[in-house]
Amino acid sequence: MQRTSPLIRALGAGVTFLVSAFMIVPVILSLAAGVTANYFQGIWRSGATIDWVAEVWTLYAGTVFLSLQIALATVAATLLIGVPAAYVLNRHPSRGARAVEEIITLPLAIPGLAIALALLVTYGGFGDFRKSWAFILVGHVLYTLPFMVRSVMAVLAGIDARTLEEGAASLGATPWQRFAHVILPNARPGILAGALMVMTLSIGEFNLTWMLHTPLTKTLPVGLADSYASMRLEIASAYTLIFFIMIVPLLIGLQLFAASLDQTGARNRTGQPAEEIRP
Amino acid sequence: MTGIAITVEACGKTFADGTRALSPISFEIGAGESIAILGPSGCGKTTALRIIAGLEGPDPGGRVLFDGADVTPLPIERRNVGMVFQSYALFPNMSVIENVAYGLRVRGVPRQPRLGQAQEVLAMMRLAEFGGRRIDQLSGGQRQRVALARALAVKPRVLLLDEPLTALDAALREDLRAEIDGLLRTLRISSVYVTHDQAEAMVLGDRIIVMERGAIAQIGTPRDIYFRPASRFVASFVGTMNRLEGAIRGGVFETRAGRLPVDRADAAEAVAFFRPEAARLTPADGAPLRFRVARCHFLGAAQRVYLDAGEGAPALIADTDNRRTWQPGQETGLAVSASDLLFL
Repeated sequence: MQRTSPLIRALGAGVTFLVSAFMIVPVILSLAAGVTANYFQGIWRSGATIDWVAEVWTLYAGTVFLSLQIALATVAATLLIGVPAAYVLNRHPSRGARAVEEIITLPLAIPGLAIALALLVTYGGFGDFRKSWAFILVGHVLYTLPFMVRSVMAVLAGIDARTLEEGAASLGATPWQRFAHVILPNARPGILAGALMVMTLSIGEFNLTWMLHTPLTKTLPVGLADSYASMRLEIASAYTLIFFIMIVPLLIGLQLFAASLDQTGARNRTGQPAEEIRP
Repeated sequence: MTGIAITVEACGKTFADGTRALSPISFEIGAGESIAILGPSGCGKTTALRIIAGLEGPDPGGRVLFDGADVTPLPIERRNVGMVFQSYALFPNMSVIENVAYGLRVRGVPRQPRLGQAQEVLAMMRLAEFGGRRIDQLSGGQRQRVALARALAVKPRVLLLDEPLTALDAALREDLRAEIDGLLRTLRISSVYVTHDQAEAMVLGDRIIVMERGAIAQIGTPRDIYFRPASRFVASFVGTMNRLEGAIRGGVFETRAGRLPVDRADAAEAVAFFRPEAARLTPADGAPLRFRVARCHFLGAAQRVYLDAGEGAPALIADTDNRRTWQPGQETGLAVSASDLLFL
């Protein structure tokens, strides 16, 4: 390894610090505003308070729970649709399959507003559906599905799923047994990564959701926009604080959960046989 | 575990994009017989194996029979075959013993008996102490032995091996080749072994099917294939073959290098083939054929002498004893018995 001079190292550290500060300071200021009694007087003169946070909770608690509900439902739906889809696309590679893959990926390139508009034009007339949170769920699934499919497909391609499945078939396993015993367990890293990604994207999604929501189906990001537009700056900041407090532990928790699952898998492979999946 | 007879009847394979991987081919495999399918890559040998396995269906009109029963419509999971893949296809989510027991598991054998049986097969493959290992903790050779154990654990009617040793290094390949040979002889199971390696085909095949561009070039015992190749392709693909061009007039084969008596009808153009070990180097004076030595490779147990066959012609090769030394440019005689000359 090449030795770098102390000067260069100090310079590097300095630049890194400045860039980090450039990004982190606004976050800290914004979060601090949420616990400031009066932002225009500053936190030192007006003092700190959690009144704003409490007020946000009474006004917007519903949006927090709806966001979580939609995110979990989106993960469930993309698992149910995306994993089998990725499996089929991997198993039968053809020009048609590539076209399907491209079509699934399209919603990434199309602005969320346009997708939302299409959904409104098509299903806006179905009153009950239009008014329910399931309408937003459909939008989220459309938008997040490619992340699940791509993530699972990448893993399937990496483990040579086709040959593994032929191996299982040669031993007498039926198509369903092959999927349950061989494909699913070996695709787990991709499924976990996809689920994490979908969860995160769904909680933060704004474009689509803003178009699709009703006053009774506001998610957290939509509520945020609402509060920025119509509330005091301190309320909006307190809301951001709640979002931050919610999403950061959630993401860390999900990462830890995924890591622990992977480790259990590894341990099971070394020691006693893992729990069996019975179809 | 006695094998079954397999009949392949007019099995061709045309893929969806119109490429013909296999012209309709037919052959039979006797009960307990080991067949090696040998050929260069793209000759259709793997496709033929996959049709026997049930991983591919033959084009309409083709049939595969196991002991006389038509299994053509059955998918692989209902044919009770054992298959070993070039890439092992071991399940990374299962331990070694779980891999070996998997076939019994999907057959509904309860946990304890199936682990017991799997352990027996592992012991037979000298892998008894590896049962608890993860697949990624094994070497390539161990993985392929696990794959063999896994295929044998279900007591298959036929063992199908698709280039199982290609991914291994040379020394290991030879060890495992001997091991598979012992296994096939002990179990007396019918087997089909696909390879592009002629040594593997010779050792493991009771009979060899040589394939070329989607068709069968020759079927025969290793000796048939080596000593009596049916075509120039077989002659040059199996072993090393020397090629000598000339003409036959009045029972004499006339070449640029000299004349050899042969027992054949006249021909204006004739090509003779002979093996390097059939070539005897003699003193130049009075020899029927005379060449100059191009170079000599000392190989320890033997030496390989390359003879200059003239412009544009590939050098002739003579395998000879390891004592004499040969200098490039030196003149030498070459003798080949008429019975070792093949005109193809």
